[in-house]
Amino acid sequence: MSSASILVVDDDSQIRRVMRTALSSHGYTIIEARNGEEALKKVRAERLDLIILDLNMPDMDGIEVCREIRAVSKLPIIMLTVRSAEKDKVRALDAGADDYVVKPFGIDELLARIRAALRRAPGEAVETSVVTKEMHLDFDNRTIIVKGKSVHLTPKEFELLRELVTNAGKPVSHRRLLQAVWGPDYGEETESLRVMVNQLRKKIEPDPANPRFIRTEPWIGYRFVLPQESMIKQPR
Amino acid sequence: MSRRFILRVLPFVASLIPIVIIVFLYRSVLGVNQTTVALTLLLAILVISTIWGLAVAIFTSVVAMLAFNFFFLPPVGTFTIADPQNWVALVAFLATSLIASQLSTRVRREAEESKRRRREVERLYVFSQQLLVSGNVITLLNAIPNHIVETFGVGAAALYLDFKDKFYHSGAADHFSREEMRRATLGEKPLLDQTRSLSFVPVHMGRRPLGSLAISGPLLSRETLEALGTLIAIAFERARAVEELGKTEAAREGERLKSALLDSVTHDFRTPLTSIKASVTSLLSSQDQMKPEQHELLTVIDEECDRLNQLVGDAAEMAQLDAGEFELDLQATPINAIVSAALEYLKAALGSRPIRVNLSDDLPLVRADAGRARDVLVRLIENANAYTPAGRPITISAEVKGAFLTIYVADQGPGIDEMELGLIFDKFYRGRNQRYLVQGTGMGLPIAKAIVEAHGGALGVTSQLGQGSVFSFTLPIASPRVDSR
Repeated sequence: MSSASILVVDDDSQIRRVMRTALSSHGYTIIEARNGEEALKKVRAERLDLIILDLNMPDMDGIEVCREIRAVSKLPIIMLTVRSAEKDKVRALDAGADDYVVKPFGIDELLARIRAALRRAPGEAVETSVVTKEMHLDFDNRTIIVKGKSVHLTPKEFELLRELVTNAGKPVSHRRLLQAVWGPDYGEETESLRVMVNQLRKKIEPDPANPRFIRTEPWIGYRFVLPQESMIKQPR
Repeated sequence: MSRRFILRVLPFVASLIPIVIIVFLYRSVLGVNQTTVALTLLLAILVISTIWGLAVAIFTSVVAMLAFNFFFLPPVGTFTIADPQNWVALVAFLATSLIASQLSTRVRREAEESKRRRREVERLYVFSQQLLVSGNVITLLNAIPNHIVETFGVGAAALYLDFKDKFYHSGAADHFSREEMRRATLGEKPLLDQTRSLSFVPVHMGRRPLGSLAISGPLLSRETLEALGTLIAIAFERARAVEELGKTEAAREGERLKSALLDSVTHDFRTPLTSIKASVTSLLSSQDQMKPEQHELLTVIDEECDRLNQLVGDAAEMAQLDAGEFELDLQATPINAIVSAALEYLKAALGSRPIRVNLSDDLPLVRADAGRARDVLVRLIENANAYTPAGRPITISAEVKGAFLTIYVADQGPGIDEMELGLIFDKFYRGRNQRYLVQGTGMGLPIAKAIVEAHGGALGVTSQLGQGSVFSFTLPIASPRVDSR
């Protein structure tokens, strides 16, 4: 498929070994780093397309590494976290991570996240339109058509959908969505956001009680899943 | 004895000296009139009475009157009281000695009293300092009687504690009647027994009797005794509070340590699990042809890996809940959002299981941590799913009961034996008949219970053998002021 280079940062050698083997077999080039410092060196020295970064590392915490990488690079970063560390996930997203995968993960899930992140990456092109057989979202012309019918969105709903679609495939935190829609003074009003997301789902989802496109990321925020690509289920 | 006698007699003898000097001076050296002599004697009596008190003063007055009569009043050299002047002198002398001695005695007594008070206050202060040093109740109780003896210089002291029915003595010996000390506990005021020179002090904290204190030897003032009682009560309560605090602190510290340990164990378990899971799923998804039995075995590894991970996660969560190391992010949330989140989460696990959701649209919002509340529901539905034969439905419903919303998860499983009903919320308990049939960690229900209780709600179950079980939990209804812009 591609020969994208992926930097795997994890202090556990067995995990690096598995990743190298599994990801190489899917055509990726793997570069390894054992800790944050090594990772930063590799980011400067190597040609990379994506970084997989463990959140729990001795010495330099993954969040900190993420922040430092962000200071010098716009490379997509996928964080490896553990369950029930929702606060860490939010912190990781705030620190500039694009996505996270919960340990232990199935390789298919990781591959899907890698593909999604790489697809977004080239030139950081912002998607201004989504055209599938089910929906047609054109943000430049402000036209939203679902199943052949034009849908009217309020300005706020429109902004919310635009922020989600711009980051399609990525989890977007509550805070970020609130600030995109309501402005920089907001960030805590998750209840209002939830109400608006529900309204939006009623307008664009075929089954609003069972959303396919606007997925809830419990505790974190929401994720827009492109219609043609169904996300793999979230393990616990 | 003779020494005391001498000490008592000495002032009387000494008081004669000024009289003798005056008589000698006026008789032999200076020739003065009777008035001068009388005034001088009066002065001497005044001085003597202020120094030695009434008894000596009266004695001196009589001696002075006799001397005045004998040596100065005509007829000189006899004790004739012919002249009324003589009576006047005697009365004047006596009155002076009486008034002067009275006044000086009072002043002296007051001075002494205030000195004694000051000393007692100083001693109380020293005593209170000693009480503060000890933080351990037993050490404190054993030390109190000795501190009292040392500080106040009394003969012996003993402390009686009512609720323990125990006695603590100064020194080794047991001087006091236990019955009297028990009785003193109930008293309101200190009891002073002058004849036996014993005092009993009730030790009360507020109006609650703790015990009593007995002191023998020199009697202390009533105020000091009362202060002693109060000081001991406060010191005792303080030591007890410090000890209690230490105990709960230690217990909490223990839970924290356990939680930290589990955290690190969890991490150490998950790291190899991650490698295994990634490897096995990688093999399973590989394009290469593999024999059905190979695929089957790899699937077993994959599933067991998930199960082990679940177990580790549950153990960590239980420890976290036990240690109280979690925060609830309480927000007004509609129950159907929680229900649909739970069902979405369980979509794969439920498969084709029919789920009936009966939630009316007018249910109020609940005040809950949406993620945790979802977990509760997930665990109850998982539980129902595990114990109910395939194809039978699980029903979810809710109703308002007072300030709470009760959520029900009803299954058509085998039901739970009455004997087991109380046990299923215990950690690691697994249904007796299901133990070997159903996979689980035995921690799902205890975790759900802990989360519900942290919300101020309750988790319960009713069951009928052969009919099924209904698990229910309550969540507080959010106050209606919450808006929904």
